Amino acid sequence: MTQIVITANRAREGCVVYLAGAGIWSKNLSDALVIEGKDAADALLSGALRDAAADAIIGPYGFPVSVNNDGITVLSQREKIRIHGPSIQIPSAREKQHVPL
Amino acid sequence: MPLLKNGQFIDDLWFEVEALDHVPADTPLLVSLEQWRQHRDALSQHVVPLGLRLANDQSPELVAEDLRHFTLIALDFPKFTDGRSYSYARILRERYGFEGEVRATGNILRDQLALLQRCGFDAFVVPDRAESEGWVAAFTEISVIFQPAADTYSSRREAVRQRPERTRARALRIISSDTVAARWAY
Amino acid sequence: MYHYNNADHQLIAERVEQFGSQVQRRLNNELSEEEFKPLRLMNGLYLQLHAYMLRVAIPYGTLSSDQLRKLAVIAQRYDRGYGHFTTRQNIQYNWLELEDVPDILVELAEVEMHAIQTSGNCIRNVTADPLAGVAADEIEDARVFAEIVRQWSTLHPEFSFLPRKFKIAVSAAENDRVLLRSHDIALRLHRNDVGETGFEVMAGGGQGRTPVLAPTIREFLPQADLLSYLEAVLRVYNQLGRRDNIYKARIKILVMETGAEAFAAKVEEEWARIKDGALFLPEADIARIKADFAPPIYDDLDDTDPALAADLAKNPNFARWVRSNVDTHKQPGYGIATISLKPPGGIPGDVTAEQMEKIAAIADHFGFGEIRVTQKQNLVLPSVRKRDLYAVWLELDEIDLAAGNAGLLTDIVACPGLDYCNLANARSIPIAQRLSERFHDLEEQHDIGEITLNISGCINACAQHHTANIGILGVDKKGTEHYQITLGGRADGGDAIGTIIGPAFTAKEVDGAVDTIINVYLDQRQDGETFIAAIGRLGLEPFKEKLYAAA
Repeated sequence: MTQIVITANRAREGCVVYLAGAGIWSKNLSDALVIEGKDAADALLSGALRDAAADAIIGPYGFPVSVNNDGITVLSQREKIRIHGPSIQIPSAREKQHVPL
Repeated sequence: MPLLKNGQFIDDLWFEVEALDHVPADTPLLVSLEQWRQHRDALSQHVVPLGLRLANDQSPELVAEDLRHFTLIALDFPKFTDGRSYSYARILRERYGFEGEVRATGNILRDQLALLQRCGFDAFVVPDRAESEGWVAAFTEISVIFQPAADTYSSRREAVRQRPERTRARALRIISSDTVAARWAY
Repeated sequence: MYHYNNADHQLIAERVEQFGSQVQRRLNNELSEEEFKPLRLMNGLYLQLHAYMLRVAIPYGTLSSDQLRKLAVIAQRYDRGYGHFTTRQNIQYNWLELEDVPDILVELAEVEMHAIQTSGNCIRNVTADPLAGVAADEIEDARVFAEIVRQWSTLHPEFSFLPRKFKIAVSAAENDRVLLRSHDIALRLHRNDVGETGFEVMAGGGQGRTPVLAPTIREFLPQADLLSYLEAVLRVYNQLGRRDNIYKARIKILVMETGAEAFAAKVEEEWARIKDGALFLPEADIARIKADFAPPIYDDLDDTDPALAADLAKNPNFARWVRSNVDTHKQPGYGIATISLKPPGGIPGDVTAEQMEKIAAIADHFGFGEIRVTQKQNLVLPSVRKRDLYAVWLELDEIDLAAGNAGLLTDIVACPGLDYCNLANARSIPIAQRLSERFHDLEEQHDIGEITLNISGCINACAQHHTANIGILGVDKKGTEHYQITLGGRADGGDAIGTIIGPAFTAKEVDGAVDTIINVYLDQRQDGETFIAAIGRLGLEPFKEKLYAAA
């Protein structure tokens, strides 16, 4: 059975959140509810859409994960980036390496 | 649903009917384009005001010859994102000189009211909460304009002719400027 | 440059208040997301992968040093210390929170900036020749007309709910620096046979899913008729543009499906009704706007500068930078200096707050306090005295923005891609970084010569890869990022859409593929022909053979 997590963006900050329980959204993937099978996920997604209608979150959807002893792992590049942020080093975070011409 | 006109919430006196067979002669009647086409002869003899309902894909061009029969044209917005009727309203006002009521029905948002009015709409069917949410204030939130529209339309045959009713109803305060809109800023 | 008058200030102030109250109503749940979304889109506020993104308008790419300093402050105060310059001459902030946006708009208004109409189905930022006003090959300053169109299109009540977004570009020079034929409407000011200046009007261009080069719908439009004609085009589009399918809603589809001639006829029909009306532009009106774009008071200089000559002789790195990054200015003794935002391994178009502050200072000291943003995601100091170029270059080097690669292979245009954007299928920035590192050698880049390379992370083609000499499109192939290469695109007047050359490459294979392509060119070029000329002569076979040769 595919294991699925439901995610969205929190309306206020725009940050990534994961469905951790009924009406509960967490920024941490480790809190996410892992749902067994697409049917169960669809059912929870309708609940999520109601949360969207209540405007706490925006644009919920489900995506596949794998679970083992280390926890939940996302499978797609897109979800990796949503957890960890851009895969590149943001300009201001880089150490300046001034190389004289 | 309330009708917002001239800054007031008023009663809508117009009736729409499914079948036109037994319409009392003194009923202000709002007909669809299809009804107008089918019953044109009978309807053009209708004594009291006649209005026409156009759908979002029915341009006023379709009834250009018959506008004199109507004192109300209602333009519909099935979704607020469908902006066709903004052009239709301007065509009614500026191309055909229509001087009756141009009414917006359907899904319109508070923040569209000022834009609709500039295009020539002067009546708006709004949700029940419009009064409590202060929709009337929306007409005056942006007081500057940068282009002419139905609200600045002047007849080519006369010097700048502003319909007093339209000007008063708007209560816009425009600051004159050096922009290209100077001619429309007043 | 154009300065706000009372009407402009009034508009911005009211708009800021209006949006501020809309955000408040949203945060208080008085507005649902469904109701709020169109409002925030009309104010340039997107929700991306991680956060809200605000796209701030930089009309026709012209900035004062004060404005650039304010952009730096906003980056520091509300974002993560940097901003991203886009291919439509705007700037984007990627890490904003909704409740800060009203304050940001207030700060922007202080320097006559805003985010109005940078998104949504309305007329977007009017882009223009980034070298307008100073380019040696222009006949007039394109920004004058871009400003006129900007005013007319601001909160235009009839055209705020179009079938889809609408992009207008203006050029008044011999060379096309704005990708005219990729726009919904493009205006090319030129002189006709009897010496009058007017616009060639092109309509229905675009990249994205169905790339199309805009056909000409009117060869010559007098300046006085500019706004009435545009109004006619928009009115036809607003009524007849498709609204049944978001992927078929741009004007390019309407023009294609109607036929360019038939479409032009519809426009002429509407235009005939309104051309003598309120939108007629008397010369006095145009002159008034022109006065706002009067050139600064230049020094009276000789065009050859002995100081520059000496600097060029003593520093070959500087000489190389001048070769690629300095363009001919119409005023003797001055040069147009491009600040490449593509340092080796850098993120195309990204600038830190510190860099912005420094550039503003350089502009004040050496460049009349003016900066331009280009369609290639670079910045420009439009007027630098030749004798000051060396000092400018040294100062740019201190902030790591002295890359001498303008117009060369590593002057890469890349969209934000999957690292930021909700729509993306693949990342584009890491590809740009790898390529710019691999090909960083400037001698080699000068040997390769003029070439354009653009990378889009999805089919929406925001990096305009279809009209790049080498175009790279990120795709999702079975859950992994792959990159499809197109060759032969151009947006230099000899406009063409590139052709896919074969199956997509993995991320690791891309730089090798580009290397192969460059080598085929270097091996087979004749008589110093440019890369794009060689493709024209050779066709794609030699490239396909080498790229897809059996191992």
